[in-house]
Amino acid sequence: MATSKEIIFRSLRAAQPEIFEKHDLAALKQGSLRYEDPLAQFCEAVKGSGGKVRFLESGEDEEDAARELFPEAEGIAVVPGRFGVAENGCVYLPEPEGRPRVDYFITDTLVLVIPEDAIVHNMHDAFDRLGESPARYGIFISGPSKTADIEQALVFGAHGARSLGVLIRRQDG
Amino acid sequence: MRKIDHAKVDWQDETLWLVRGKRDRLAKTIPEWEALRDAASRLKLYSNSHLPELLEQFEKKASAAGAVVHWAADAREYREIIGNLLTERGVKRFVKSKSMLSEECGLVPYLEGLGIEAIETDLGERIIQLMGSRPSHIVLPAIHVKREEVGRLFEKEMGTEPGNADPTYLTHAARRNLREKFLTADAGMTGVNFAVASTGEVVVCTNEGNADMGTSLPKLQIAAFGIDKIVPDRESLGVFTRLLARTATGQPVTTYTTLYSAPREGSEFHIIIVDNGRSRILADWEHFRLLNCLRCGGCMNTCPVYRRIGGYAYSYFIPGPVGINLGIMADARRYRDNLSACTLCASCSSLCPAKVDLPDQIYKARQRWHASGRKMLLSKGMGLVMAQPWTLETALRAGKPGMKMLKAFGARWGKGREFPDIASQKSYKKLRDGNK
Repeated sequence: MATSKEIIFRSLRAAQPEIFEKHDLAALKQGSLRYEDPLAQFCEAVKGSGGKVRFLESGEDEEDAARELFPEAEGIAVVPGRFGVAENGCVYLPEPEGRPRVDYFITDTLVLVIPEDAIVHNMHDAFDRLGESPARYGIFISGPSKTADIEQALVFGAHGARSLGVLIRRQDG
Repeated sequence: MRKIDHAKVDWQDETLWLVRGKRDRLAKTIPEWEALRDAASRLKLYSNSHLPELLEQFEKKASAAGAVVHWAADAREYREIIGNLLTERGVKRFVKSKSMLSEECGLVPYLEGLGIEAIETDLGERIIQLMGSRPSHIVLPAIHVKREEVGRLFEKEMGTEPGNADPTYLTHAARRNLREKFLTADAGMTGVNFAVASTGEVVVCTNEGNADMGTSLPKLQIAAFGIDKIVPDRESLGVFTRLLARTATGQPVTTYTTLYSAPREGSEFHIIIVDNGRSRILADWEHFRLLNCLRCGGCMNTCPVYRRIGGYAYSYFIPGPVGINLGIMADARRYRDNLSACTLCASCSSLCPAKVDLPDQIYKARQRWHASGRKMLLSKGMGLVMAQPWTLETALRAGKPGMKMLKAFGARWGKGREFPDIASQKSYKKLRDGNK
């Protein structure tokens, strides 16, 4: 008996439409929107998504800065991010080390820490930076959890973090 | 017959138009917007014309990462694979995020039949599930529900304060209620926005974080997608993630864009790849580009017909311009009545992020269903009455019984719609002739 996979592939081959060649994205990527000051644009975008931003001077403690940013928070998780995306305020986080994935979501307040030189312009740059080699897991997070499912009224804290902050660590020299 | 709540219709019309406006404002901030749409369309045409090779590649990569890949030729297989995964592991409580595929395949009623508690966790979907209803929009499932209705529903279901209809209060009540479900669920499932062939990852885009909660706690994670969700590589995700949320809800990006490939430590990850009629669309030259669709819902937000009649006026479970065409491909006889819900204004195709030729397809489908002599039931019935002046006049003169006859002929069409009232005093013709 044919497996379901074989049945599907038989239908696909029988249905084969006109072949379209792969579109080269080089020109699009090269001409994509870039910012004069990507760091400033990133900060704007984080605020636009409902998050807060604070710079960390060298030697400053992450936990203290997070607490200062959210003095009222019930619980704060401070986690390292890889890089930020200027066009939409996303921070990319890999599989967390030594803690479960759920820590990114179950906390009341999530604070992400990235170095100031780790800002890319847009999602093309972001995926170029990740490359094509498989990772176990990865996530882009932009602002706190939100919904507008009741009459399109924007509410923060649907299921994930109610508040989100980004700490940007200043580089020395 | 349902009476139309005109204030609600106006509200829905204006609200969806606001979403469309937000999309426009964001699109204008990106000079290469049209090039992005063009690239998305071409990438989809490429992947949909190379499905066997890309699906093979996906399976290989996903398996290497530790996921278990299943294939389902139709809805029944899809339901059974999930049903078996859950029953074999003794799953009692199952949380899921929004998935149009699960609606298409009737997953939740099937699992409930197996005695499994299947919980929708997207707020809009949860409202709809508790109402015992179905979504009226693919991205904004409860767009037709007013806050007071949600307030009354949550008062009954979650014990919220009577008369409190504040969206923040109600959302946070649902957060507490569903958090308990997340913590005690035995399995979690998501739909898929993009399945990446080069890496074997599935990408899930949400705002609420419900998909992320549901996949981060239980020991069993399931993701299911139709074969048209395949994209070639991460590079192409750059294009799609720039377009999706901007077009869908007028946001620069969704809050969470999650890339899954390996199971969490100590848990299982199962991926189900589904055909269920998509290879039939692939074989149909006139509808082939339907497989480009990203399910952003942008065509609904802009459609002048959808905005006023709402999702429930369509007989197929996906409404709006894309739903009209998907319905034709699912079962043309059953869903051809939807073909009339289009003015061919082409607003949808002018903003579709992957350039699906929606009005062209509707136009051609109308020709196809007309030319084959299988006219719509409505046209047949109403046509009989309306075609000849004497039949209409007789029906009108016959008054009440005449109206009944009209309604009987239009019964199917009239379901969920309001029939126009016939002037109870004098007809226009009588007035005209009498005032001469």
